[in-house]
Amino acid sequence: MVHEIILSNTTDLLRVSAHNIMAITADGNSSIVILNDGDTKCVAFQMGELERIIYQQLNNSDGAPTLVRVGRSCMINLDYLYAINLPKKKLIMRSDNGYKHTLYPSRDALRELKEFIENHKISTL
Amino acid sequence: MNEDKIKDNIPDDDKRITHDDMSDTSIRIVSGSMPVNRTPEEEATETPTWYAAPAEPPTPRRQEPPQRKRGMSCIFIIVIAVIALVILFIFFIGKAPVKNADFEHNAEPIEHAPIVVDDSSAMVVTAIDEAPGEKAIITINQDTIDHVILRIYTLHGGKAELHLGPMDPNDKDYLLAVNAADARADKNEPVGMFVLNGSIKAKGDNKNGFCAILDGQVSIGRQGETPLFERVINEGGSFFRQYSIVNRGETVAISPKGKSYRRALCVTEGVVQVIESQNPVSFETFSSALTDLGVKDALALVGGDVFVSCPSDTISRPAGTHFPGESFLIWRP
Repeated sequence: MVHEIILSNTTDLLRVSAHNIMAITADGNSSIVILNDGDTKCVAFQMGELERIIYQQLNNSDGAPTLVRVGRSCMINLDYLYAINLPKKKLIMRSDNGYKHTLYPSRDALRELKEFIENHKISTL
Repeated sequence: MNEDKIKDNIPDDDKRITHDDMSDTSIRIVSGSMPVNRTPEEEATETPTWYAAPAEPPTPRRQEPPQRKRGMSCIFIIVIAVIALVILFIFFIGKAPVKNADFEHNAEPIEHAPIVVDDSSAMVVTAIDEAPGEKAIITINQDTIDHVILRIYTLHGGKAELHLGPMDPNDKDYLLAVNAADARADKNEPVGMFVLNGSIKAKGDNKNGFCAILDGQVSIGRQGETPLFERVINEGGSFFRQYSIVNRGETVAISPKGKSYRRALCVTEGVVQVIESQNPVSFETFSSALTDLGVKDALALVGGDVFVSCPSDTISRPAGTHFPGESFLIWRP
């Protein structure tokens, strides 16, 4: 099943498979969608709006990727979570083709994400 | 293309931009088949909230007691306290004296002495032209009193005038030119009230002595407020303030200490004299020497190695230094 996300406003439209989204980071009033092949796309949505749109489009879909909002500034696809380094506040994402992207959310959010994954015994890779 | 999905991109009830209540220190699952951690409030309600599984019940950001807010409050309190202390200092303790504000060569920083208005000692003496109509001359003597070498320039006739700024080097048509008022190093203007030909050039009352020039005649005195100032303004005269160091034959203690070449404008029984020490002395020693010399009233002039010129003087003196905001007292024949 294809879980596509369509982000559309008056001038732009972005259509992307939710499985290909590696992460989304906030950039002022816009957001940057980072795909698993390293491609990035800036969309004119704030992170809160984006979160709401993604939830509405993927809600109750079987097999939908697990997207997690980590702090206010980023949202990640747990399928690509590679490493968490609390002292350095690093959240490293890695795709199958070896592309890596590092995010720097807050340490508290990282700690909570780490505990969440530990508690639910989620294997990301 | 799934048109319905495009249309449903933003539902009607969510088309407005809502407040993003996400905390920077928490996580929230947006999509997927993760176990849902519902809060008791959410379990109680049949209608689930739009988000899937908040790790913690999201609380509005404004209701959180962030440490940053507390830090800002502390900074605000500290700033208010500092402002209150400054206001207390200004209004109850007094203004701190501005050191090094006055310019005086080879002399210590001058502290502003408070004005002492003593009506009993307030007196103005005015120079008298002994022989009006005759040619003005200057006589030069030298005397030594208590190891203080004094060079005495006595003016007979002539018209005094005040000059602000550097003198014209080609101007030699004068009997004597000496620096008049001290200058503020920070503003490059004379210290204290300074009136040039009826025009106020600087303001301030931090020195109790004054020199007024009306119709070329010099008057000196020691008063905080003097009616001569009004006359100077009305009649286009000149006026400047300096320390009064001898008043009615008595020495007047002033705050500047240290030793330097001292100069004074003296008026004794209507005779104008400019007396200069040829060796560095303190104001106390200098004023004592003046009283021993018989001077009745004396007003300090700028000391140190500043420019002083007397074309008829035979001694060789250095060219003298100039400084911004300098002023000259000049006698012309």
